[in-house]
Amino acid sequence: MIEATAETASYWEALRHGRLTALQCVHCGRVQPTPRAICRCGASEMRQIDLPSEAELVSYTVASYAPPDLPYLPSPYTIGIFSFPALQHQVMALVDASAGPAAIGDALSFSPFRSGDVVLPQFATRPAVQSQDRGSHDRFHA
Amino acid sequence: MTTRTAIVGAALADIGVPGLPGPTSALALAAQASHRALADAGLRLADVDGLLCCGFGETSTYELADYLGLDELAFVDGTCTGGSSWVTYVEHAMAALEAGLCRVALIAHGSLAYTDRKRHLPIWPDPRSPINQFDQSLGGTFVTAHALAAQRYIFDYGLEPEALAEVAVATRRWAALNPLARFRTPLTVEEVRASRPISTPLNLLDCCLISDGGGAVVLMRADEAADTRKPVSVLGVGSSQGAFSMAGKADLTRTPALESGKRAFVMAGLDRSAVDHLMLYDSFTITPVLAMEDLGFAPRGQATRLIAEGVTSPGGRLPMNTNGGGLAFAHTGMYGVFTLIEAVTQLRGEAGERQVPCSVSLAHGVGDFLTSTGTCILGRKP
Repeated sequence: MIEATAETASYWEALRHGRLTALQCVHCGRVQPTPRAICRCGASEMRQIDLPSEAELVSYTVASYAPPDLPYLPSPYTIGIFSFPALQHQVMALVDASAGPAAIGDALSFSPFRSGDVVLPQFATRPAVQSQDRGSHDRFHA
Repeated sequence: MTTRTAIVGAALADIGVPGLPGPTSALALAAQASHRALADAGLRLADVDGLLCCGFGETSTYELADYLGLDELAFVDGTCTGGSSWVTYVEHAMAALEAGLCRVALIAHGSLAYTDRKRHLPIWPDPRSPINQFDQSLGGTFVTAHALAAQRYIFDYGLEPEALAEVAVATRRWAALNPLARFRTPLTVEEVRASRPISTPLNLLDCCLISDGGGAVVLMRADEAADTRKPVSVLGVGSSQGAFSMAGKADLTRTPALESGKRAFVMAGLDRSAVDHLMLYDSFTITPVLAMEDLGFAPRGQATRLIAEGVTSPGGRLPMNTNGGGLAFAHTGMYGVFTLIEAVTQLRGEAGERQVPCSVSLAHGVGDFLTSTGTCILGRKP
């Protein structure tokens, strides 16, 4: 299970409120691959930015079996790499392909995955709606 | 180049069929392989003053040195770069031998991956680590990482999953010639595609075995190896490491082999055309495909075509994974040492029915999420 740290707590807290964020270095402008206190340029002043609501699907896979230590994940589940080209930033996220098959190069909409207390980054193949209204994994299958 | 380091011994532990009676711990398998590799070289355990190993917990340098009774080691290396570790150890052992830090370096591996397959032992146990927070929590596993690369690869080059299945088919042809291989019956592309889906586009038969087993190799300076049974020259080595998470890779179909391969060939002073045998890590069918292209043995997008044409199969001009590979011989979770052992076996002319004409062999390991690579070019001693 996820254990946030002082470096990552703001990311997970924002995600719980339906926002996908990243930390950006105030000094050099780099969007950090994952939340961290020290930028690769050495600076330590970060701002939290909201990422665009749409991202490009770089690749995806439908995994038949969820790892046994992740009971909140359905089987099968779909996971992908998403790109924000303007920010030179990529993230790993779940894929909600219930509205149609995902295809590499598609623009997908941010739509966080919720299962009990667990909230994870996810993009969907149809326009996002209010996150609190979205179901969890019943519509998650590819 | 002037050959300065030699592999003087190489051996497998008991391996192959699950459930074999025999060693019942990873340490026992590593120890069994170590004794066999030393015997192969004509050396004794007391000769060893350098130890290089790692493992999923049990086979640390501390544990294995204790188990073997090596208590006056001059050089110890517990670097863990996943499955590439053992090939990378050749580079580290070469440096240590040339620096005079040790005289006999033992590289050892043992694993109970098959026996432990349902224990789900965490590889990175701290849930605070970025890889656990941002990859593993989403189900980002070794399997999905390679599947993400495979999906992107077939998209980029307009291929179908059948192209990857050709890798499993070709590898099985070699396994048929190796009595120690786990699966030896012929395989068809249709059978690979009919096997159950694991992580698209990879089906079960696109994935490596899960095996118990072990292996070891022993290295010495070439100028001190004259009395060993049949030394093999280390011509060039290189290692490299890239982004850990798949999300950190600018191109999912490029691996650190670009760098480790370049380093190994520069050190060897050889062109790709000098290599006549390949041992490329095959955790999944996509893995050796990317390695073939990154190492310069196939143009971009063409590796699966060459494999389908039989170039890497028995009788082909570039035999690859002649032991049956991780796809059909054995895969202990971290397979790197087996690429070295088969390369040595082929260079010595001791591969039996699967022997190929071979004077230069390339062994290549890949670690974790296509994160690390080690490349080693070996030559038959003139």
